Formats: sequence, C-alpha cells, structure tokens
Amino acid sequence: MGMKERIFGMTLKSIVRKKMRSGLTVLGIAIGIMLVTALLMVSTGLEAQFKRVVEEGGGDFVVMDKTAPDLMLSRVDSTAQQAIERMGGISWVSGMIFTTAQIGDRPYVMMFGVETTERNLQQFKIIQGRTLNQDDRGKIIMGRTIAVQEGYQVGSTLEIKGSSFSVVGIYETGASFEDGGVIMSLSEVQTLFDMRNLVSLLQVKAEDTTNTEAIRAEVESTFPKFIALKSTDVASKQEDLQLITSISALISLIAIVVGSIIVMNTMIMSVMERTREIGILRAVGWKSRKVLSMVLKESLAMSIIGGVIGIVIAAGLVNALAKAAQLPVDLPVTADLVVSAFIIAVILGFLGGFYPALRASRMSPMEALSHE
Amino acid sequence: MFLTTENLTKDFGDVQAVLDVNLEIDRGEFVSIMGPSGSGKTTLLTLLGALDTPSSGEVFIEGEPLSGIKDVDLFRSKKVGFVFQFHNLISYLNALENVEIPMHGPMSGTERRARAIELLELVGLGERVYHNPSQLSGGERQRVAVARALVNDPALVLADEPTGELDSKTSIEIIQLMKKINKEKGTTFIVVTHDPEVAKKAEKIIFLKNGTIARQEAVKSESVEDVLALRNSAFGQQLIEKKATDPYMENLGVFKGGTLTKEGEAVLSVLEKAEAIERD
Ligand SMILES: Nc1ncnc2c1ncn2[C@@H]1O[C@H](COP(=O)(O)OP(=O)(O)OP(=O)(O)O)[C@@H](O)[C@H]1O
Ligand SMILES: [Mg+2]
Repeated sequence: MGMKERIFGMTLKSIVRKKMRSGLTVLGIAIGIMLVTALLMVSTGLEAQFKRVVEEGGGDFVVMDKTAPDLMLSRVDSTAQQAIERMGGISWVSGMIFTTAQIGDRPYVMMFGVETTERNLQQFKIIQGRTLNQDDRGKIIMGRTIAVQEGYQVGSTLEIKGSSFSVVGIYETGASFEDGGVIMSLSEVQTLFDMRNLVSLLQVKAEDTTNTEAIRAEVESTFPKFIALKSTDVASKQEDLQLITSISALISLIAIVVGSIIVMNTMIMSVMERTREIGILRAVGWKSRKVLSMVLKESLAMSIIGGVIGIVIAAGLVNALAKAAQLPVDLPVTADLVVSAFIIAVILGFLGGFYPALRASRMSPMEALSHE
Repeated sequence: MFLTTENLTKDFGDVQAVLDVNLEIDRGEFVSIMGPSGSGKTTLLTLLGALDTPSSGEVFIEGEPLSGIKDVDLFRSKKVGFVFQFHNLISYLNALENVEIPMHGPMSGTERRARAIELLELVGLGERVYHNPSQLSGGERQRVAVARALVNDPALVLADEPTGELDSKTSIEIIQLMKKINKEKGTTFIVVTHDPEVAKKAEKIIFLKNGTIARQEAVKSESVEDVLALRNSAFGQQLIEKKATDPYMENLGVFKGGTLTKEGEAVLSVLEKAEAIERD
C-alpha cells in the first residue's frame, strides 16, 4: 500500500510539474471523450425511444415495411393485417400510425394513431379528463408536456390539418416523445393523412408467448416485404439509428486515435526530457518494468482525468442543449454509457502511453545517465 | 577482499576506456580515484556498480562474479549506492521522496518515511526534509544524494565527482560526511575526484591513465605529514644537526648554551619516528 501511495504521488507530481503541457493534453482528451459521450447519449437515447415505440402498443412483436428506413415511412396494408389475424395462435393484431403534424406554432408534433381499445391505450396513464372511446369523433388525448407548454386543457379545441379537435384527456407516460405528442383514433388519422387501409406497423400478440418466435418467423416467410421485430431488435433495424450509431462509432474511433496521438506526443516529450531521471532511477535499482509502469501510469492518469471531465461536461451540456431546443427526446446518462466512455478514455491513455513507456524502459541505464 | 577485478577491460569501438585493471579493495576501505579527463574513471565506476558490462575481465564483489548475477537491478539496489556529480535528484520530488525512491520490499509508508528521515538527519538535513531540490544549496543536494545512496544499507558507495560542482569548503564537508559514514557503518567508498584536497581524505588513491592503473598510493596521515613538514623546516634541521644557528632556538627552550635540552631531544625523537614511518 505504501508503494502505491508513493508512486501515485509521484505520478501526480510529475503531471502537475508541467502544468501547461499536461493541461492541454487533459483538455484534448476531455474534448474527445465529451464528443464520444455526447454521441453515445444520442444513440442510446434514440435506441431506447425506438424500443418504447414498439412496446407502447402492448404486442409481442411488430410487423413493418422491410424497406422503410424509418418507422414513420413504413406502410403496411389492411389485407396483411387480415391475413395475419387468420394465422393460428394469434390473440390479436392491431395497427398503429406514427406521424407528425403542426399544432399551433409547433411544426412537428408526434401524432399516434391507435385503435381505441383498452389494450392499446392502457400505456397512456390519464391524469386529467378521460381516455378515448370507440365512438369518439373529433376528439384527442394529449401528452402532459405539450399541454403544459402550449397551454391546452381538457375541453380546449385545436386545429390539425384543417379539422377541429377537442381535448378530452391529458396523459403522462414519462417518455418525452410520448408526453410531447397527441393520440387520435386510427381511423381519423387515416382519413386526415390520406392513409386509407394503411398503417405504419402492426402490433401482434400471440395467444401463448412461448410461440412468439415461431409466429414471428411464419409472418416473415409469408410476407417477404415485411419484417417482424421484437422490441429488443427494432433499434438495430432502423437505418436512421444505425447511421447515427455508425457515425458515433467512427467519431469515437477518431477521438481515440487523435487522443492517443496527443498523449503519445506528450509522453514522448516527457520521457525525452527525463532521460537523466530515468538513468538515476535505474542506477538506484529500479527495474525496467517499473519505469514502464511509471510512464504508463502518468498517461493513464491524464486520460482518466480528461475522460472524467469530458463525461461530466457532456452529461451537463447535451441535456441542457436538448432542453433549450425543446427536443422531445430523453438522453439519459446511463451507467453503461459512463462505463463505455471511461473505458474509451483508458484505452486511449494506454495506447498513447505504451510506446513512450516502452522506450523509457528500454533505455540502458548508462545511456540515460550520460544524457545531458 | 571485498572487491577485486581481474583484467577488467571495456572498449567503445576503438576507444579502450578501461584496460586490464586489477584492483583489490578491502571491506570498509575509503578509496579515491584520480586521473586526467578521459582516463576511464567514470567507465570503471559503472563497471564496478554493474551499470555497464565489461568487454572482458571480471568484477568480483564478496568473491562473487558480477557476470553471474541474474537480477542486476536488484543487486544494485541492495549492494550499491551511487552519487553523481549533478542532477542526482528527481526535480519534482522533495528531499524525503528522493531518498525513498530506491526503497523496496515489504515496508509500510510510515516505515519508509521514518527510514528516509533517519538518513536525512544523518547527513544533517533533518530540517530540510520537505524541500524540493530547487530550494536546496548544491552541498545540501549532494547530502540528499548521499542519504539516498545509503538508504538500502549498501556495502559499497560509488561516487563520481560528488564535489565537482561545489566550492572547496563545501567539498571538504561532503567528503568528511562520507568519511564519517565510512567509519561508523563500515561502508566501502570509492570516490572519483579531480580535487587533490578531496582525494587526500581517502586512505588510498588510485591514479588512472589511458584506462590503466598508473600507480596507487597510500595516503599518509595528516599528522605525520605535519611532523614531516616540521622536520624539513629550519627548526627541524637545526634539531637534527644538533646545532642552533637561530638565536630564537634558545628562547623556545630546545637549546641551552648551544646544546640540546631534554625538551629538544624529545622533539628530535618524534621527528625521527615520523621519518621512519615515511620510509615504510
Ligand atoms: N558510451 C561511450 N561511447 C564511446 N566512448 C565512450 C563512452 N563512454 C566513454 N567513452 C570514452 O571512454 C574514455 C573514458 O571515458 P570516461 O568517461 O570513463 O572518462 P573519465 O575519466 O570519467 O573522464 P572525465 O574526468 O572527463 O569525467 C573516453 O575516451 C571517452 O570518450
Ligand atoms: Mg567522468
């Protein structure tokens, strides 16, 4: 323990000694890790949102258009719905539409078209007024966030695509994109958006959940145009999301490479300046691997400090920006995300520090001592 | 013999830095090495301390050949302490931490600290424990280096021009400190120096020239030197010749009426003894 304490103190003192250089190195790492963290937040946040979209209808899996790059662009027709309903082992099938519309001066408000049955609406907890009924016409229920922000209440009337609707209830689910949207009966959305006999996706519920996988496979083989996804898989089939994920992976990779180069540059300079010091350490009996670990500890310490700063800044900044832009998305800083960003920082410190450390440890004590 | 070398040779390409050196140094000896620049002093020291390996020949410490040692790093940290001319210390660590650096093995932080403080007190720096090298004088820095060299209780301390950067008064202080440790702990010291005043504090001086031992010389005790100087003075010559040519000799009480007094004869016998010692 004594040894660790001492070497740790040595690491910090060595870093603090060159304040400017170490500071810039830490800053460079912090910026890289901040970028990586922010992108991770966006991609994990959106992924969670897609999962939620699929789960909110209450089915075991969803059927959607295989070629659609995005949920909102997916189209499934009612003949497919009827065919699936006739397949064995199915409890129910219901259609859902995801789209956006202008409400007041908000150009893109999420609109959910759902069949007004209890099983499809139970996820939307009513906090004021009532939920939608089978025979409601010209009625909607509205998410809490948009209601508060735009000043709507139960009884308010508003215009969507030229038709008038009245708010009969306010719901809250806790997911930003739901609480920032409105729900209308499926048939009214179909009329309003000219989507007769079309839905975005079908929710399918099996009679016996142990058969889900078999039914899912059957649907896919019967309808080669469609894809049947469980909620856990839906994110990986979204081209938009995949694009964001691969861009963030690429940027993370660039951040690691650039960060490692910054760390390597700093540590090579540091090792060269300290050649004599390394000679002394070897002369007093330090083993080469102790010199190696000394240099490596310094680069790891810098990358960890930079990483922590980057994670903290990203966590604060991304949500502040999302809030300021009134984006209806939740970008939580999950433990997984923090661990990933931290691991990236450690990898970066290790990659950047390894070569300089190896060089320092391979110096012969004689060579190092005659350096001046 | 504590340390011997057998035809120790080191060449760097064409340059023969050390050539066929045969040394014999006893445990607890205090030896200085002198010689012109480039005569191989530093190279010899690095071979003795296992910082470098010879081209041929062998160094034996306590009868064991250095070439047979597997872990030279461990050997160095246990058996040898080094003091260099300058930049001995790690600039960003304080005196205490610098002294702690060579410590190894199962010691707690508190034990290390206590040991380092003990050594800093031994070299007279008990009040400067938390000073950084930049806050210490040149002499104080060398004291820290001496403390660090001693921290693992080595049998051998190798110092390469430890007083090279110091004024003559501080140089003598540092060498006296080393002598004190040599006497108290029985540590063997080998000190390379250009300064004859410093070299004379050793028991033996080895002169190197072109990588070989030109000559070795036992250092006479300072008291004997002083008596010999007295013998060579006009005062000593008059006693030896038993003939006072200086009237003040009568005032000093060594002559009375032109012949030696009892006191005069006593002084003369001391001078003769010193002469006999010198003839050995
Ligand atoms: N690494 C080396 N490569 C090549 N030649 C070397 C090397 N080290 C020492 N020499 C040569 O070996 C000879 C002895 O050098 P050394 O440093 O031992 O001398 P020195 O007696 O310590 O001199 P000084 O009093 O100037 O310190 C010199 O000619 C020197 O140029
Ligand atoms: Mg030298």
